Amino acid sequence: MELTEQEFLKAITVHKGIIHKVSRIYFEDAIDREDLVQEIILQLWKSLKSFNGESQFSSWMYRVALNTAIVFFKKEKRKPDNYRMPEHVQLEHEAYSDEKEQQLTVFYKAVQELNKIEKALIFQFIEGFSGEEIAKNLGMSPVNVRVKLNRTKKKLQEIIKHQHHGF
Amino acid sequence: MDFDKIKELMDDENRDDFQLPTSLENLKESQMPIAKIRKTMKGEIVMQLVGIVVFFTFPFLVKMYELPRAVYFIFMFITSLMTLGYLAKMGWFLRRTSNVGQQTKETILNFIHDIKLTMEVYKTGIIAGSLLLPVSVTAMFMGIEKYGPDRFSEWFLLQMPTTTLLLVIFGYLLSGVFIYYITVKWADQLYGVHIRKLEEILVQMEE
Repeated sequence: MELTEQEFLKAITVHKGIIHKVSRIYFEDAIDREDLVQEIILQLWKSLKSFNGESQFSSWMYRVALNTAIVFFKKEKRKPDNYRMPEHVQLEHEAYSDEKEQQLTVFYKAVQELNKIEKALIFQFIEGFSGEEIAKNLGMSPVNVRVKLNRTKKKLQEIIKHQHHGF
Repeated sequence: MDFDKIKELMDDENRDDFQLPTSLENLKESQMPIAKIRKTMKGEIVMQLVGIVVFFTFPFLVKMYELPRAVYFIFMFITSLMTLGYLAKMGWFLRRTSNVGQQTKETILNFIHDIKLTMEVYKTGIIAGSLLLPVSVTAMFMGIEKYGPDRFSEWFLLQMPTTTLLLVIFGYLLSGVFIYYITVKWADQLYGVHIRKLEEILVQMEE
């Protein structure tokens, strides 16, 4: 597909939610997320020629964004970012957040415990992709996807339970 | 856990602060492992080109005996040919773009393949170029007239005691092994780790 830079940016802005959600699922740290967002945009731009219009633009964006997140590794040592808020400060902040925001925060926090493939599975499931579509996107068999997805859902529930946040 | 509710919350999340860039110019360079190797390679290209020019200029700046001068030029010519061939190959790699628009498994396999291939080209180029360099460097230092008689010709024609000859061969092999070991170790330390991480992801898919 041939698009000018501005047309491309306009097209991805329409679906910017995909990039936002993928970055939230894959990284907790804001700077890591920012790096991933930039990388996704770069890879979308570089891979634009591979989009032949057979699928929807948004489906192609999902695929590129997820694949980029999977093969992207955050910087191992970045001193200023290694600082984490003390637990009690985080909890205090959570207490003041409204209920919806808190539920989402808990979910994103729990998702960080999953591996990259489990994240891809749960994300596509939440986004409403069928088992067949997930299998096709990941290059796995539908049976394997079904088994892994069930396992991942249980694992996620266990993580949340372990973090004392059942919802 | 109600995943429909999670989906609803994710969709409704406030994204006012989340702005995409208005131009691609301001984006940082790619941080993919393969992009990092290619960036190192670009630096390497510049360094090698500068090196070739500097090494070829040297004999014109100092007075050298004929034989070491000829050997120096021949070895430098071979090294330069190999380096240029390697640089041409690297240029081809640098223009290649990894496609992340395929299936995830295919993408990972292609990434592993591309990183391995790029690393091999890189290592081969460095090792091959480095192995010929000791002879050129020896010709250069031993062949300069102001340092006395032409010791290089004797050395090159192997006019030396057997023990010295064995020591020279041993020293050369040792430096070759050292160059090979350092290059392989260094490349593996920097980039091999990414291959292992990607292979781990493949295992996660199969488990």
